[in-house]
Amino acid sequence: MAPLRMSALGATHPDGALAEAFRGGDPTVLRQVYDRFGGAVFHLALRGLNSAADAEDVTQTTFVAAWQGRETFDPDRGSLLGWLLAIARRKVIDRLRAAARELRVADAVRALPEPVATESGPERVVDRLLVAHELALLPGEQRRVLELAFYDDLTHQQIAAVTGLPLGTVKSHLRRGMGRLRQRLEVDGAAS
Amino acid sequence: MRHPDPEQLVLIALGETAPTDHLDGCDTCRAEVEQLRVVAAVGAETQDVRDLPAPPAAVWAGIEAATRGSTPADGPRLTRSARPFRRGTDLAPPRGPGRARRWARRTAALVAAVAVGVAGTLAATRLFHHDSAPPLAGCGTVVARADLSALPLAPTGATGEARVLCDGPQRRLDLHVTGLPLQPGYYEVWLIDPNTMEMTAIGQLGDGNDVLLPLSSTTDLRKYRLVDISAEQYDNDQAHSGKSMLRGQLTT
Repeated sequence: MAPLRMSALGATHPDGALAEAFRGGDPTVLRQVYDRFGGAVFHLALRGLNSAADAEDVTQTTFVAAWQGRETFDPDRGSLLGWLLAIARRKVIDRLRAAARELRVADAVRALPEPVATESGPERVVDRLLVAHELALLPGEQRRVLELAFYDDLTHQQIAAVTGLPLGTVKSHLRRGMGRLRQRLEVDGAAS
Repeated sequence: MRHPDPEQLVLIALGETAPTDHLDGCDTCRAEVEQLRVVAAVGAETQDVRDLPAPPAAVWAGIEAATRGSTPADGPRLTRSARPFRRGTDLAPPRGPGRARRWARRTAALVAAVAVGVAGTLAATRLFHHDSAPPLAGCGTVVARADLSALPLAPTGATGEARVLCDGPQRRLDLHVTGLPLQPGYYEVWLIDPNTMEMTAIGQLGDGNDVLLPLSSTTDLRKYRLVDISAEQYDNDQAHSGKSMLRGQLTT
């Protein structure tokens, strides 16, 4: 799926101001970006590499590369988190390829790790992180409704009962919230 | 054809309502439900990635050190500062003929090399940097140079240049590399005789992109004409790790 070009998802996104400041090169912003997204980048690296030391290296090089290449970040094409995760994912894949070559070069008897299933591959981890962040940015009531549907597997009637919201409001929150998450995946998702 | 309303499709995707017959005949609605199902499945998984712990403090320290004072105009510049790093305090005299020197002798093809014990150790290597080297007293003459290309273990785009400056006792190897990744060990610089695969360690790359290493005036650069940069671990094994990242041939 071709990435959609929607400036509405960039500049007016809740992260938009931070992304703009980052692009502008304000040195204090790097720390803010790191505080907001460092955990997600580190998580992706850890999941992909299974080595804390390698994951730390990838996290570090990701933020250094992002800072040095910040002028190439285009908020109209996606979110800052999506961009950071794309950099980190490339670095994870580079490491895995290098490790695989190393195994061949050394002619080691160790078998290559089993291919990762789609549900746990780096693309899925990226999607998960993007959706988690987008979910956290939704208005509180909408977010709460989605959490009850996703995590607690409640029906819309049950959600209405738990929250005291009218049925129509619950359904509307589900539709809008899901739409927003889907849009994020379409723009920034690893599979897009 | 009348499509179900969007809220109905959401409920189908959430598994709350059974799919209607309409979906069997309508590609648009079926695709819509499929996409919403992915959102719901990924959404359910987000529970595991909320409130993720921050990376260890050393990661930020490394980022800060690597980005301090840099601007995009500097171009991509990876740092390797995360590893322990010994910095030479002054420039030692180049290793001369009178200085004991042991050569790691290799017979196997380098790319297939598996580290083996080497009798003895190479002379302790010291690091030298532009910022610690004395002025070259006007000796900037390039007597040989090599373009270093990425070997399969190196990331795409890794590259480098080696220049031999001056002849005689002031001879130096001036290295510039880009694109080598962070790694837990260090990068060692070697000169290799491709005919015999004999090699000698010249020194280590620092955590910058440039390093200036003393080079013995007695080393025959027509023989030891391959410049090789290998990724090494702090494992007390002084032999070449077999993990060559960059290599190039000196031409005079």
